[in-house]
Amino acid sequence: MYSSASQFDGNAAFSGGGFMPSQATQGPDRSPFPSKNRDAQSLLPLTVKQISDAFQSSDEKTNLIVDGVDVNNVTLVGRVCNKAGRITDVTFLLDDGTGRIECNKWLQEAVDMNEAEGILDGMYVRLHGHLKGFQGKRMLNVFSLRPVTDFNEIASHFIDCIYVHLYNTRLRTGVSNQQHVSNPKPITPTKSYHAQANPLNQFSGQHINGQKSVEEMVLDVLHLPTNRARDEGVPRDLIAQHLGVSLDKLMLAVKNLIEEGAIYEAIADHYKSIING
Amino acid sequence: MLQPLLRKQKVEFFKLYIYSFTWLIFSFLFQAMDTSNPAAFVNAQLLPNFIGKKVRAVVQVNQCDGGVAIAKSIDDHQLTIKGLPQVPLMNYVEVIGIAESNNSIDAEIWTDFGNTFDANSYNQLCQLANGEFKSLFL
Repeated sequence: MYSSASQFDGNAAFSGGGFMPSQATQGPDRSPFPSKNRDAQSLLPLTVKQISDAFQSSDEKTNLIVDGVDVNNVTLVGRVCNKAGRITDVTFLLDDGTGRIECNKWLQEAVDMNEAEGILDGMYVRLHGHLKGFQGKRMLNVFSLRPVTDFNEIASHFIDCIYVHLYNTRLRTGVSNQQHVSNPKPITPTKSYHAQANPLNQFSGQHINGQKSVEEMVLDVLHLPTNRARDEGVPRDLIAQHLGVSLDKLMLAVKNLIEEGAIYEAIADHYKSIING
Repeated sequence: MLQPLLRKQKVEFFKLYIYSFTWLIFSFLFQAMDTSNPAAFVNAQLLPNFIGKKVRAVVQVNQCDGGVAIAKSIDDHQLTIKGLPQVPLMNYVEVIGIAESNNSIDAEIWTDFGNTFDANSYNQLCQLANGEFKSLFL
């Protein structure tokens, strides 16, 4: 994923020039943070309380970590208080009911200014920002700020916070085992794979006594080594023959799998699993 | 005679200025993130747990006169809301204020949430925010 860093070594080319990270921290493998993948850079819905708790339990030098995930960009919903506008930037406190956090938005263009002018004290806003430490305190560098018009967004945001917390604390521990397998080959995209794994489990849930669903059996067939090797995919007749099910039943399962994104039609009536490699 | 006195006063003033400035900086530092006074998500059922504390509740105002409003909580109980101005009747209104008793809130802030608000989801959120996931909120 980060192979470009090894192809072009900026440190070697420009001797750093003061802008490159020092040798010790450079390179994806030697990074002090365990996962510098895209998961770590995701936008986290958080409450101010979560940020505050994480801040108190971490020393200031390192990144903020909430539920084992590096916090960079966050999204919050709350009321604006103590707004102070200046020519270059606007600062305010965001009160989401769990606490208050200082926010700052730089005004670069006329659009930003109009946007900021529309935000008044007492308004509910959804904001996206970058959490950063500045002189020993945490503040939020806001890059998007818009008023909440449908107030269901407030409940929705907090339910999001709960979900992400649950995902990162419980569900993720199962996922991370597979993510940290030190296989140098670019294997399956774990994130999307697991996203698909759930719907497939649902299929199996529909069947009694742990009997495999047609969908799962189709995947099993497609995952057979001989079938993996077929670039053109596996003909549907062959799958049907292999499973001993009618073509109608098979096509229903195939359609479901295609909708889930688990398989695709390589050429007409030939199917391939996306995780064939 | 007058000169040294004036100078002394000047120094005093300067000291005061420095003190107030440091205080300002400090208060600013600690203001950066403040979770000391959260407003708990409540429905009528949860209200008794927060008497004397700050709460936020969504209600539908049935009638409102003289600053005292009779309202229905999202879990279908009757609440008395004090300090509320004339708000649109039957709209969902969020009030943030101090829980006074098992069924009354002294409102400080109110926001009109309109009439397309999903009370059921909000009610469930109240329960989650005071139950399993309390650590995220309070």
